[in-house]
Amino acid sequence: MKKIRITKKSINQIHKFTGIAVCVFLIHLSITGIFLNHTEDLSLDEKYTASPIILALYNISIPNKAESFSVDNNFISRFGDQVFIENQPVVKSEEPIIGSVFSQQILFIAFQNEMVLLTQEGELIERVTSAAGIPENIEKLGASEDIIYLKANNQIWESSDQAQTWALTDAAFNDWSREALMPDEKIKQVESYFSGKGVSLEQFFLDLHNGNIIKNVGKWFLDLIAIFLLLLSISGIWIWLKKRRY
Amino acid sequence: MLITLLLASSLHARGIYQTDKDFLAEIYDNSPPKSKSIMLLGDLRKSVEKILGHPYASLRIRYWNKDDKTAWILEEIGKTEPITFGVVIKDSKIQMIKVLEFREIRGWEVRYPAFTKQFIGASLDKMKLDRNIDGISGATLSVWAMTSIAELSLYLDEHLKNK
Repeated sequence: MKKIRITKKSINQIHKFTGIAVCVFLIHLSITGIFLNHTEDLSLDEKYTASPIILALYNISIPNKAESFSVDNNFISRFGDQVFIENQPVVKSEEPIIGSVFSQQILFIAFQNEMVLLTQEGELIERVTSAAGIPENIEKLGASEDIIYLKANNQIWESSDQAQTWALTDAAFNDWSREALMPDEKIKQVESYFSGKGVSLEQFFLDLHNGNIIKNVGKWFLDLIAIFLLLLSISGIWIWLKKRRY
Repeated sequence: MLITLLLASSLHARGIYQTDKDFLAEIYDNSPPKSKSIMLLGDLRKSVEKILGHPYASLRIRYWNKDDKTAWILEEIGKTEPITFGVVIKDSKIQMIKVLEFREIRGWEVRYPAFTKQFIGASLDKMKLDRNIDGISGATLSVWAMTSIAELSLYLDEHLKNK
């Protein structure tokens, strides 16, 4: 059986290799450690970042804006499956918003197969579906004074009792609700619903420092670095002892 | 493989079991009446809040009434998502209760007739069901949601009669 001999050369190589391997990581640990050591001085716990790259590392995603309508000086929009009045989340719907109108102190939002009625404050009055007499395949929504109009399957329907009952009409109604361009400032306000303030810099530096920023990979990577540091220390002591002997 | 099977079963559990329209067609022999609605205002709103332990999701509740039976399509949160229930009341007793749409990943077992048959014939006694409902392990919140909706629909049916 061949004996494994630990030579001075091999120990020097281990020391050199582990030294180079941990060098970059020690610089990283030192810099993030200094930041963490001065969290309060630098107010890192009060500062937040909403960088898309950093938010993605924390699995915080902001859905894209789908549709938006301007009603009574408020923007009604849908981001992902969440519907908003301005930046207030109100209901969820996977169907696109067809139109939105304000009448009789009620906000009506039509989707393809249902209509949502909300108070001015955003409180849900009702979700009206076809079981309650609303036509399916809604194409357009409009309002004239106290009458709500729907266009579905190329027919026009009207309701004068807050969407409780619907009837076909021959009315030549053509003032349908149309999509409106939502200003960037308003979009950012809605996006803040998903991202909150963002991630605090203290949390970010802490997760950078302890490897949590890359989840389990970070944990295993830190274990590897710990093993390298042990090898570096042991080989260093071994080399020092050998030098002292001669 | 086990994970795939578990995932498949939870995905299978979510979804629409019966549409509102089909539910009403089944109850009223394909000829459902026009819907009516109740506004939850004042004392009625407070009573509903007492039954559920929180306000109902909407201010207006839709119902159908024909052949001395009322049908209710109501929603209640299971754990995080609303569950849609269909309830039929006749002679102040539950004639049928069903899960129409389930959106949670757990607790879908409440849809089985073996569980829902416990509610058949139940009536209201001081705003509570007149009987105990046996739970299902792992579906406690869904069982509570269905029990609350059974009590709510019986209460609303009683409210209509006393109007």
